[in-house]
Amino acid sequence: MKILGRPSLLIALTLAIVWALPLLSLLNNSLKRDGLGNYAAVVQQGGVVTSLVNSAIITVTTVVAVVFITSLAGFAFSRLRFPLRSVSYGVLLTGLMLPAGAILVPFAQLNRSFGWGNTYLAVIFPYIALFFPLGLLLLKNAFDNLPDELFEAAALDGAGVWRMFRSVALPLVVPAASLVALWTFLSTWNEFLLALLFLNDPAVQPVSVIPLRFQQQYFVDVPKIFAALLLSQLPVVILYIVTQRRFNLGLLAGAGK
Amino acid sequence: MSIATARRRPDWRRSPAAILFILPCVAVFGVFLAYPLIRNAYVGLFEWNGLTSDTVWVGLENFIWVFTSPAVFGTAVNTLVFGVITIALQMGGGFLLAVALSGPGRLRQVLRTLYFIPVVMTPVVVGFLFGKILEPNDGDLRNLLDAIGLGALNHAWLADPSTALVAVALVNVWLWVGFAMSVYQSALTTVPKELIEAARIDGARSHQLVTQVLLPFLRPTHWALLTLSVIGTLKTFDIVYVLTRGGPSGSTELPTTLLFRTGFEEYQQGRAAALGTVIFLVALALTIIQLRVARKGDER
Repeated sequence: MKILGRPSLLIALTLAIVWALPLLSLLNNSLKRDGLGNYAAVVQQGGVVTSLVNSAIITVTTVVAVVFITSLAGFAFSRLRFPLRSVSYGVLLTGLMLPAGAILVPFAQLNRSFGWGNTYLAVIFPYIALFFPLGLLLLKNAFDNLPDELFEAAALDGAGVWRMFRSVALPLVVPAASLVALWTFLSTWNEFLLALLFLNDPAVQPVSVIPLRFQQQYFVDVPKIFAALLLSQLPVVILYIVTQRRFNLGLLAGAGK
Repeated sequence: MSIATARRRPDWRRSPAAILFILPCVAVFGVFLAYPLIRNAYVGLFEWNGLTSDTVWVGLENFIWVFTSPAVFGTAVNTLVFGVITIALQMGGGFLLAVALSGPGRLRQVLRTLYFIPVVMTPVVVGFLFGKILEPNDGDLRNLLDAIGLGALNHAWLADPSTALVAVALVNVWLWVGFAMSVYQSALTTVPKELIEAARIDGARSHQLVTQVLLPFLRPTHWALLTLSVIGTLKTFDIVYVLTRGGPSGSTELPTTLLFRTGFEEYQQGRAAALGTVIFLVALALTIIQLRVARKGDER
């Protein structure tokens, strides 16, 4: 619904220059000196492509795991009754408040004891742990918002708990689950600190570490760094533009309860 | 006994299968969040360089350091300044953009997309990009100001301790304003049309419509965003690490960058662990307070 008229649109349009210029600067810097040759050079080096593949593997695994475990738990916390339900839900949500940086030391120790040094698992499990609380919050809210009559009717048909979850509830929370998937995708793709510390081998490094690596590799050849940076942003920006209708962040607004 | 009770099936809600539904989350939480947190608090009781197995029990010394060190106090002040600038501009700007850009039309749609693009970008990349833009000798901002005859405004924004924190906060606003805009925009779609029409009929002007109708209606959204933003502020790391590494002379040091420096550059893992524990507890306390206040407001 349109609320305000043209003057406000004009202001938003003018301000948009401030948002557009840095993006243009990214493009411009990546084309300096050798033009598109910068892109050819960084792609031929192979490192960028390997990193993109690594990011894809790490991200997709994390997203699938988070959506799976939070749908299950969100349903249980919303619709099932068991001892310590609200206490345990509250405890799980404290994970929302935890900066990854605060638990780097124990993460490193866990990785050592599991023998995960320089493998995808070294970051995948911490990512699942850090990103599932938000998914749990969103999905529990989504299950809460389903009408009770739906479950009562299914109960009369003799539906068991699995059927309640799989056939009755799950299909109706697809919008929330999509948001969880998209947000987890972005969080994982863009995560930097754990990837920097736990993945030292370029063969397993994701794209978020590229800036630092290329800074050392190309040092003064700044345009090549920017070409690599721009390439690393294409997947997330394209993903966003294609899926923006599913970015219903309004679901977060109901999350403060 | 009636037929109904005799035939009643066990209540599916009380199925013992519940444990299986929550088990994956609980297991991940236990191993990768709860254990690290407890371990962290424990490591905070030792002096340890993180490299060798030599640990020295120091009791609460590291925690006392957290509460008495000028460096930590400095990060608290910086966080406050950084947080107030970021949250005020991000929520205020996001709200105004959402109001201005709500409605149909290609131009509005394009602008909404543009404002949101930074949100999906990698913060480290954004940090690098702005490092280049704000670079004092050949940065894009300098070249732009020179080109339009405003060269006198040039300044080494990130190298001057009096401007670095504000500069980093503004970059953070560039990064996140689209998030607040998008949340507000979804919330605006839930405002009943009649409410806006009634206000219009009562002769409300545009700014009155915004301040007297929309702002109060979106109260729950303000609180949700505020809570998320406060947590987000306490978690901020990447962008500061890339732009300034906490400098110059600690002027942009935030708790997480100080923690990283202490633990992984100065190898004082005990202190870093104590600081991490306190950061978590502060975030937890602030969130609980905000939720309480928000709920009280709802009951009124």
